[in-house]
Amino acid sequence: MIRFIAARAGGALAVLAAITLFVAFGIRLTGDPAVVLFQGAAPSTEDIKRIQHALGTDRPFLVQYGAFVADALHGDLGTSFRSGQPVTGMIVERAGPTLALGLGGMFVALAAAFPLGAYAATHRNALADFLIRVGSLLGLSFPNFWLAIMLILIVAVRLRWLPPSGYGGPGSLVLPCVTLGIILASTLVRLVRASLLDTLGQPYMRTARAKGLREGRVVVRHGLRNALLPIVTFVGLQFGALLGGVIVLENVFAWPGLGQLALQAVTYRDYPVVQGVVVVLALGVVLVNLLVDLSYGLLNPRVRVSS
Amino acid sequence: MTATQAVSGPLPRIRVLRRRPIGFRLTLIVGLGFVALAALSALAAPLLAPHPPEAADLGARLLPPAWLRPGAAYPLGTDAIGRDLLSRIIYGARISLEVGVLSVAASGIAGTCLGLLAGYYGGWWDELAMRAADLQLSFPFILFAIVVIAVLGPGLSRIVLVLAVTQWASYARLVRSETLAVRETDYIQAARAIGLADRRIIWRHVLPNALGAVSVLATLSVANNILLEAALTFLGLGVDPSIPSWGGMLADSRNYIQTAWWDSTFPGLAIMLTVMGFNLVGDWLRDWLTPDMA
Repeated sequence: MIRFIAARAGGALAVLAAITLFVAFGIRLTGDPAVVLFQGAAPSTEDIKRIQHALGTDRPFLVQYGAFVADALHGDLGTSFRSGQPVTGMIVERAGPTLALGLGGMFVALAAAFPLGAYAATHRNALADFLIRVGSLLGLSFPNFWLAIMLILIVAVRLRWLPPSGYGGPGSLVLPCVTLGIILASTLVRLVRASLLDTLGQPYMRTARAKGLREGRVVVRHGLRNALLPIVTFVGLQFGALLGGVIVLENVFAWPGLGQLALQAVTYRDYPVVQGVVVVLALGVVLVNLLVDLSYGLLNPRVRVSS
Repeated sequence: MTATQAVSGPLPRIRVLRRRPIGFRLTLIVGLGFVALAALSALAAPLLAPHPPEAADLGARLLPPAWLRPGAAYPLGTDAIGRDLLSRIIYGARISLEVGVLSVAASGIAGTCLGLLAGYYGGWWDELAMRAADLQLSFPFILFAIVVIAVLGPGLSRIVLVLAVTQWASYARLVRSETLAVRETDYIQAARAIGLADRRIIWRHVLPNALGAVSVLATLSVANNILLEAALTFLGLGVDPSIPSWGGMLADSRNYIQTAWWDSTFPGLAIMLTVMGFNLVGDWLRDWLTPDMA
């Protein structure tokens, strides 16, 4: 088990190193921050050299990268070109709303996908199964931001039940989380259905029925529990896609989260902020994937042994 | 005995009873219909569009669809600077299909080639390609897109690039596993034994086995990439806002959501129907290729 954990942690570390190298290198390709700082004014060569020295951008790339990683490990992600504030502080300030949206969306998705997927699997090829499949297909074909706009149009503008956008109070969470949840649930419901159909055909299901267990208990205890493995993997792998949804929906709902911070930074060419947000979000995704990998090993002893 | 009878007479054709899901054939017809509609719009946009997509009529701003305001020359209404919504939606099909098809072709061809070589030859090349694929797949798409667009700037070619670079790994993995599955089969061994060149074996005997699975992934990816392009354009990271695109139209419509619902409804409907078309065709393909999974 320890070798298994070490191997997976090593892999996660390699991924993180590759991502940060890519981001740091890419950001430095965009041009000299010393020139960017002057915002179109014509600085003299000495001015530029002085600023390059002050920013440390006259050092070799790998030295700069090493300094970035060392600073990041101490919680220092640099200073925003635009506001002059420390990037770490800006990120901490924005992390709460992003987490609330992401976790809320995931919760809605799980709460919807499990009962619907289980029902579809146990009533295979019945009308309800067909409707659930059609619903999932619709959800997969909806652009997430358009679903958000339509919900705003109906629930907020027409019915005036909820605020159309902004962050504050439990009411403001409903529309963004439901939108994100619907999009995620559309994929998840198919997986729950397929995975459960797989286990329902297993001999131990017949045994459970033969023991005289009630059908509901058979499906939940013996079916769903064994169907959980591929679902856990999938949910973990979905965190990257979840992040994409969160960033788009933050934009639609004027949500003061990390996605908005990154997009604004791209517009203003505020590279330390872009770099900081991307690294922090990548760290989050890589950590979640690592946890999923490890939990997979706990849930399924076969994985541990074979690796 | 029945056995001898069966042998002496012509063998009765056994129809394998496969239970197809409800609406199996309908799936294909509806899916192809939506795809054809989008393709027709893209190809024949100048013939179909009632107005030039850029023609702004400032006297006719934010007009509602024709059925709400009889006598109007704009079937689906106009946007904030008086451009015909229907014409822009018809032209917008070009961007969506261009990005969807080009990105899938690029990533599909590159990934398939890498997967074939990795699966067939194995060894250090296989190891290298699969580690690279792992790395690519664990880099969240949106973060990759933000960095690349921040560095290179937005634009259609950049979107295609971002999509192609982030998706080759799925094809490589898929094709590699299909290749591994057939590599040791008797007919490949036989082909090798009679001295066929590796190139010919890969091309004529291995690749056809993988194409089914690749076609399913490619069709579903076109759908997904149309969604991703629209989202990136909506965020301002995509195609040039002056070109009519569905994501760009939705971004423009946001300030008028209280007054002009048609502006934010119809472009989204166009995306949804097109994406659903590709999804339906992809689903049908998968069910058709692997009947017991449905």
